[in-house]
Amino acid sequence: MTNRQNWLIRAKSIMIRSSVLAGLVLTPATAMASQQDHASTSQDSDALFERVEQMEAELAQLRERLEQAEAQAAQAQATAEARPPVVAVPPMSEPSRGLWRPSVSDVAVQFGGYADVSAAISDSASNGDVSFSAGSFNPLLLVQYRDLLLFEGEAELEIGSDGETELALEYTQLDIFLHDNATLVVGKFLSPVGQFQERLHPSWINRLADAPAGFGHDGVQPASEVGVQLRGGVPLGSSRLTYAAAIGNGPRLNGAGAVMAEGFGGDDNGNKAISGRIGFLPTPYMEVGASALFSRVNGPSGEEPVDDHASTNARTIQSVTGDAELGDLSAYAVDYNLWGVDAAYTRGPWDVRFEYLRGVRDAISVPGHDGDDPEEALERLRMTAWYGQVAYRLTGLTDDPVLGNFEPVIRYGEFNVSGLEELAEEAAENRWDFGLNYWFAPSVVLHTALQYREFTDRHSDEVTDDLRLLFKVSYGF
Amino acid sequence: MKRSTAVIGGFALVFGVGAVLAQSGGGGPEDNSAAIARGAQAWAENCGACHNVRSPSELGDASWGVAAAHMRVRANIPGNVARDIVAFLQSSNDPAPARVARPVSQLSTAPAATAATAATVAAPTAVQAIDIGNGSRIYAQTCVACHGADGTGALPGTPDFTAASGPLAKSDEELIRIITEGVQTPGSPIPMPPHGGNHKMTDQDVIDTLAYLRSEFGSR
Repeated sequence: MTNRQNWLIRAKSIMIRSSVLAGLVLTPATAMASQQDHASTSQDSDALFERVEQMEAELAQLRERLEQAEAQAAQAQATAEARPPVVAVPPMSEPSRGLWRPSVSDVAVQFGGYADVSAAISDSASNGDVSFSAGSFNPLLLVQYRDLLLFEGEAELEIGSDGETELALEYTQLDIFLHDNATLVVGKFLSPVGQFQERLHPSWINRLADAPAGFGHDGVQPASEVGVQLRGGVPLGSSRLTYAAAIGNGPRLNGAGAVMAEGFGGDDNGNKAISGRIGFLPTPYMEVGASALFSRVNGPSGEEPVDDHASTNARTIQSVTGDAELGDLSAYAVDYNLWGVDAAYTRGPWDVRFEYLRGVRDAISVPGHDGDDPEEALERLRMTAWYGQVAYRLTGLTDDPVLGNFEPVIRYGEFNVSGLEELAEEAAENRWDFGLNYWFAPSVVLHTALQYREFTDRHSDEVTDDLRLLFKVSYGF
Repeated sequence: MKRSTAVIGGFALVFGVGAVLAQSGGGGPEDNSAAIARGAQAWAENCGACHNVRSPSELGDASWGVAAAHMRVRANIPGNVARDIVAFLQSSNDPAPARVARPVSQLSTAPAATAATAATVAAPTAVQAIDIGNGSRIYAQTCVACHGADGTGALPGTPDFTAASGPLAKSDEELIRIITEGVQTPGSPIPMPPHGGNHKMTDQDVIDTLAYLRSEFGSR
């Protein structure tokens, strides 16, 4: 208890005592005067004395209460002084609101990231060859300045099939902690649309060796965005509401009219894209979410697109080249909107997930010749991707230290495309994955998966299905 | 531009509402043990939502602070919850508390869940009569994050208290040793830290918690 509080208690005590005593003095005096002036009866005197006695009793009670309060205050003060000091948590202390000078302890740095190596055996490869891959290395640098600011930067290094090292910047962002329920993010950040890209894509977190169809780089799910984002979580009793709202440069079209949402460092049309996600966790182990993206994209310019993102996947949306006959459509801007839902249940040994995304790019029409009706240069593009996945860690069935490290997983997903034949032929597929993971440690895993892909929009003279056996060792650090 | 204006307005609205909520929920400094207890629960609930929970011993104090800030952004964890998680991790990654528990031999060699046990351990350690209610509170604060409210284990690999061949099949002496010194259970992704990470747990708390475990899960 502080001196100020002690002083307040004492002052209050004095005021109470003074008031009561004044009442005691003034009340009898007034009564006597009244007796003289109005010649009151002895009955009145008895009543007056009774009142005085009653007030004396009340005064005694007040004194007793006051003494009790003072004793309790003294005891609390002694207890507080006897208690050992609470050890503060250094790096996550409450933000200071006043002026302060930075010191060495205000800055904390951590290196992290993940790396993986993989191999694949495919029945569609030449003679069923085994293809080894050095995988990828994703170093992550985190620099925190007190509880105010966090810098995050992650790169991705891959060795391409041609032996060249490819480097990409996954994200580089500054997180400004406005308060416990809001963080302002600026820079290049992972897209908040959906769950997989933002939270599950690191290979040591993903329960299978690769991303679901349509959810990796070059899928319908946006990979990243450059702009500003506000995000956070708000507790609602035992539940929690999470939000993320971003405004950024938005996606672009490649030469064929396919959508690329890879976090471009400039805006080609001045129309900012708005994206975000609302999540609700009714219990800590269950989450449902809804996402959306609203943007406008310019038509293709007729030139080959620059591959802004490195990828060893030879069959990607960006590899869909433009049609020279399209001409320059960059003066025509159309809407590209996307929405989706997702859900997750992650209690105990279970990891169950579902995600659905649908994106629609409007058709691009050009004026007809000599006043004719407008001609549709690019058909409306519709892309739908979804997957359902169930994984179960065998620790739920056995205490055996070896068997408990196994985790069977099954996933089925689809990526459907209409309105762009080249893209549909390249990427539309139904995919089954039957996997078995072995966890050497919480962040060290061997993925094995038997994967069957059915390419749904290819001609009969092309490869229409593929059976692959995938191996990947991932380490998150 | 209208779209941008609407978004910026939305940002301001969310920030303002959030600021009000954050201020209304503010409080003064509190005992760190309460934050540690909440952090244990939050650690199990939040980290396991995307990936396996990692052992507190994997990182040092400062690194856990940075990692928690990273996850605060990525997983939209409220700041106060992130701080609780850090408090738990920083208290659990260095099992060398100022107060070192006495050797098991000085604690108990008899069944802890009986009144006779209290008498047995009372002399050398000043342990008072068994208080199952206190054990229940300790369990809810410190143990429930990993072992779950029903004792079957909230995290993959956590032993099942209700199983006939589970941990409660061990002797009281062994269980007290495990609680006070920690243990790496085969198949569990992370070790249990000494005192479950709660370094303020007293010998009395250990006895009471064991008595609670026996009474709540031992007879199933």
